[in-house]
Amino acid sequence: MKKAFKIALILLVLIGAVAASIVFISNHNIDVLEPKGMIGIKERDLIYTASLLMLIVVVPVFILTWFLAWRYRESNLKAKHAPDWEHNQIAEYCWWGVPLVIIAILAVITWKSSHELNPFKPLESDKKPITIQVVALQWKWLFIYPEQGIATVSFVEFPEQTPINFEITADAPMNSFWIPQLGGQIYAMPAMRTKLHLIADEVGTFKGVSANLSGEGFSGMTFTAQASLDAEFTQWVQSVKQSSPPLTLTEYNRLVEPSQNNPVTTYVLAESDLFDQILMKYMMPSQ
Amino acid sequence: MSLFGRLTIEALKHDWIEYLAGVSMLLGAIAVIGALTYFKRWKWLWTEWLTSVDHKKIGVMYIIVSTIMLSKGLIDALMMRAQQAFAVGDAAGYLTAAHYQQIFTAHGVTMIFFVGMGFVFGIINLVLPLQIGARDVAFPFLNSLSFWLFAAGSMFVLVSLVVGEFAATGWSSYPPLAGIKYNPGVGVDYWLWSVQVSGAGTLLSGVNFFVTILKMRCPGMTLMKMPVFVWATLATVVLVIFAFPILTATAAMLTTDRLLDTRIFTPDYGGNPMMYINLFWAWGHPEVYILVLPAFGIFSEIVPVFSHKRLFGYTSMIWALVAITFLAFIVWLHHFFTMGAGANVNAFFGIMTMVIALPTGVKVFNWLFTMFRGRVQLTTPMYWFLGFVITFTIGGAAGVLMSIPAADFQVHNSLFLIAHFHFVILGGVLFGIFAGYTYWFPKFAGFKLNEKLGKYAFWCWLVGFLVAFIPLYLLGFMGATRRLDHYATPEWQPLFIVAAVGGMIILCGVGFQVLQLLVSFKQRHENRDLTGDPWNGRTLEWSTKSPPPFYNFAKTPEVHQRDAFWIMKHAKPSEIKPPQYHDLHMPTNTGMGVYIGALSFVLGFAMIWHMFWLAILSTLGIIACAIIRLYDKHTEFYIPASEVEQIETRQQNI
Repeated sequence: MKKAFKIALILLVLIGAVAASIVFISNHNIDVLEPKGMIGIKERDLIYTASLLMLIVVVPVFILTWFLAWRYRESNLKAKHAPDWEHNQIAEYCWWGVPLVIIAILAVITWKSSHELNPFKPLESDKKPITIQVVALQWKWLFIYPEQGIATVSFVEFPEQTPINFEITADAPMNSFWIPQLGGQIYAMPAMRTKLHLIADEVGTFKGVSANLSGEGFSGMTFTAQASLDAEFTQWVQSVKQSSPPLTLTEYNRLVEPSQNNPVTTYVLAESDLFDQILMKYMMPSQ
Repeated sequence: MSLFGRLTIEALKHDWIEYLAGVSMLLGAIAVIGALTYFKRWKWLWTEWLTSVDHKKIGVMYIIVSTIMLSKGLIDALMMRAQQAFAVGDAAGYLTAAHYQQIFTAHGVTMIFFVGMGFVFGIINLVLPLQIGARDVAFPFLNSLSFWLFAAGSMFVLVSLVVGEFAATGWSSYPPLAGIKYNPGVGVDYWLWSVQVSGAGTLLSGVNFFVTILKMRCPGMTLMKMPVFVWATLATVVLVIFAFPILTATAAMLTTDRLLDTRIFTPDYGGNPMMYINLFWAWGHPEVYILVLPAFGIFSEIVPVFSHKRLFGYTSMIWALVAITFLAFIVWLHHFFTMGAGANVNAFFGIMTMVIALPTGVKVFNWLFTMFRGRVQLTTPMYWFLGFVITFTIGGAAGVLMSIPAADFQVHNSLFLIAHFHFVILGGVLFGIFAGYTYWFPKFAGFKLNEKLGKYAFWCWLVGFLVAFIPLYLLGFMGATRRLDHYATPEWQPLFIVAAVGGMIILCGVGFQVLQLLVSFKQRHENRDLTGDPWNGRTLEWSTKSPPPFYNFAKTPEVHQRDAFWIMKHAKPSEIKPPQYHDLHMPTNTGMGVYIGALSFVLGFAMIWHMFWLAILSTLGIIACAIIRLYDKHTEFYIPASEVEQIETRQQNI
């Protein structure tokens, strides 16, 4: 009676925890599992496929653990006892073999997906891609639009259903550039140019973060990513051009100074090759 | 330059939380010193413990230091949980960003270097020589030196609480953030010297146990007759010997970058920070296995004993260990798929990583089938084992998921990663350590630990652990990254609060463990282990008395099969002859380990604060100690056979 009560209590708590989790998950936005771009969707599918494959091993392990510990408990004298049984060829082939097959399948998936979802690989699309250069600073993100001739801080806008070619560097300690709802991240490193190709399938506002510790203001180093209709985007570019101050080298050097929780700022690009100049700073240091 | 380098009174100025930590540390130290003086135990402490070269005493000292460090690491963890539970939106939390970043850095360094490594080497020290039928390790003085270097390393973390600050760069201290440009203070230097000094100790330990296992086994114990824990230790020390020099060299290069402007890891003037990240993980990934292989070894001892059955698949267990040892060195890049190395490189390292799941899975199945047709005694160590299988399997599956580069892009550096490695390190290494602690405690204390309280502690740890870390998987998927002192997304807060509650439940578990120790000590007369073999053990350590005499074995055992002691117990009793005792050759105690350890701390401290005159002096002191030790002729002595006989018969009469 007492034992049954205990088991019932444990079951109740477990069911309660699972129910609470389900309610929580269905009421909240799980960015990585609810992506809004083709890359993010493929990466999510990959996570699902791999998880399901692994359940083939994980579930038997769970069941076996409880079953064996219960069946062969000390007090169960009905169970067979074979104290010297220590080897069985077939059983061992089984648990080298079955996981081997699963790993082989996963390896093929890994090889294919690593190439297909290589962040450096440009996306195929009928539409002309847009290039956005990203510079991680202490502690804010600077976005440069070389084709549009504008620049922004803490905010990036791009047209929907258009491939985005992000070129990324840092003029600060290493950061990692991540927009969870659009797809996986890549490091932003000083003196290096990394690339990330993403696309937004629909209009929307997404949060962007730095995923790598870069110093005191790291936690506030977030930005908003806005995917809009083509016309809206063009309109936005025009308004930025009309109403923003120029981003000269002097202004850039002021921007490089450490600052935290930076508000959205827009600029007209005064130095069209600013991104390359930032990279070259490290190739030929002046002092 | 002043006599004190850059050390000024400013270094002692902190906020009230750090003062609180510093004051409680000082009070603790004063209490210990006071007690030792009051009970006139200084001489006893020095001659019996601090200068001891006995592997059992060194093992106990490792475990004491690690327990102190564990309490510090736990407080760090709870402070982080408390910060993240509240610091959302306009609320800034009670910690500043700079302080919070020091806390998570110290937490990582403490838990990896001084809790994980300390407990692992403590248990290896205690158990391994007994399991191979040896009287001590191959180089007893070196063993003492290793311990004191380890203890000196841990002191840097503690002292940084009072004098100056600790690194705020994350436990991996990547440049350029950890470079002189972005972190000119002493924090990174404390990190460097802490890692450098304790790393040197670990490397020496690695060499010591490698030689011990290869040369000190008792007659008849061939490699394939060694207990699995010994095999796991052999694999571990091979990893130590290959991996730790990389850490030492990398830390040395970062030190010269900071001191001499060598610019090896700076992004300009031809330096390359990516090289640091590669080198760090070329050590860092093997390090993970350095921690977990001994835990595997511990479970391989516990499961057969409490199943009353031989270990299933000994040979495949050994090959699995060997495979993991080899693979550990060719997977390091999976810590930074997001650096952009290209699809072929990423895919190679990804596939190598998931291949490790194979031997690891084989080990799990072998343990499970050791229970098959056994008589499973559900003692506290078995509880830890069963809990470990669950947490380690979940953590391992998450690890395989992250080994697929394109999937990793979406979870890298998120709280998903944090959940993963806590599932394998806490749910793997720490559970293994707790299992081993309960299992071997009676061997060295002479009495058993209270089972009931042990099980309460287990349940609190397991439940608290799941409550604290499952929300982090979900938070990772919600886009929460690691190392945030503050976040703007209110949707995350409920999960952070749940995680904090989990931390509190774990704290209850710790409370039960403390209580267990106190209660067991109080009831030690009822729980005394008079046989030396409280669990019906299978390996040689159980053939000695509890606690074993300082020379371990009056007569070196001879081994003919695996599970040597099990075989001896079941041999025909007709062979028992009256024992014949011989003079025993043993190492003498020495204070040189203490001196060199203390001087290494002074050297590091002087370098951190740029007191170069003191650094030179302490270096000369270390060299002098080494020379004196080299010319010391009185490093060994003989215990006469009569004394051995006396000790042996007295023990039998208790």
